[in-house]
Amino acid sequence: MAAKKINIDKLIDSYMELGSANPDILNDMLKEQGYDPSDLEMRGIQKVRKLLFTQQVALKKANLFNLYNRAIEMVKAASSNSKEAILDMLKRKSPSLQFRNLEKLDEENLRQILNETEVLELIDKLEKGEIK
Amino acid sequence: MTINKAQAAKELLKNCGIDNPAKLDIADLIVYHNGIVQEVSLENCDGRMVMKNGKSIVSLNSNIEFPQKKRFVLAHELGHIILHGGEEATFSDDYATLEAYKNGPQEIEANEFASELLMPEPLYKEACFKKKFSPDLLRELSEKFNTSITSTTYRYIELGNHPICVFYSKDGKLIYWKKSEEFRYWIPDRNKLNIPSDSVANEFYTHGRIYRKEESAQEIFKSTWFELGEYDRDTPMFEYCIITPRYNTVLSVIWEK
Repeated sequence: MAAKKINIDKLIDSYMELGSANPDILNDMLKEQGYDPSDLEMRGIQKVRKLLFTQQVALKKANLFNLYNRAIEMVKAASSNSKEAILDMLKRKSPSLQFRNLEKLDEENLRQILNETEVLELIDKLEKGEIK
Repeated sequence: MTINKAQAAKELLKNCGIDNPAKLDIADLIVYHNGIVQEVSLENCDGRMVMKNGKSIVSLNSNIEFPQKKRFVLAHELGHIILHGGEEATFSDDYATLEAYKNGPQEIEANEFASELLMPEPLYKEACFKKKFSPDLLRELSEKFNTSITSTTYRYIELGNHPICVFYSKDGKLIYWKKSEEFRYWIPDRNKLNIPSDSVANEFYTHGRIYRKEESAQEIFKSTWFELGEYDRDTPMFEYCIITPRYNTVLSVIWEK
């Protein structure tokens, strides 16, 4: 049994050597078995991309939500009461912000946007280590 | 620089190795683009995106009833992040910005991005191939792509194989219409005016009538919604109403056999 295993290993090694020296041979072998090599390659690439995407999402999710939760704790409710004051504060905090539909929003919505802007600022500072 | 919104969605799917968007969690794509998704109760909008320093917070209205609608809202906000984000931006989206009409190029672009992301053109065309148009087909497509019936219908106008026309009304007034390129009937200028009194949509506005699923294709006449030419016959057509009671809106889908 052991001798047979060694033979199979050798066979695989020789296939690998042959394949790396001349990839067409592997393609021909796959075609003989009814596979489309370019389709297999494409599906393989897709699979790798998907795995990388899933991994990236998991890493970013952990990091972002950690920063987000810390920032949320730091944010205090906006002290201004009137809609105009909140709008004014938003514009002062982010002069280059693109404002769309904001005038139509009520005070509570504007306060939420102000808080979210502050959370994002804090996330940036936490990430850069400017605050701890 | 003009960004091709459909191309941006195609590239994203390709780069993330996604071949079946129906199973995709759109929130993951937002995280992938440095965004945080939170579900909160929003009073005047369905979705909101605040972006700063390359990161964003996307708020999704927890009062939205259907998960398919939530997916579209998130895909729309993702469109804003990718197409219009820049360093700082905020977008607040309601039924009007999400319904693909007259709301500026950025909203139209975000909707086109969302449509391509959730219903990729080749898959959608394949799903419609050799199938007869009916409300059931729209339901079938909506189930297949895990999308709302409204966004599925708008996509059908662009990619479907049977000409249809839709009229979008709110509180009994016509707001917008859109039709397939091959739909050649003359549409009178009715925007901001009352919808036709003999339309199925009007039955909802005046009597609150909503037809059951199996009766959803109601027969009307061509003259109900269209202007007849000198040699036109007033032949039968069909109207299927997609009703959103929360906003008191109706999307009337019109077609003929």
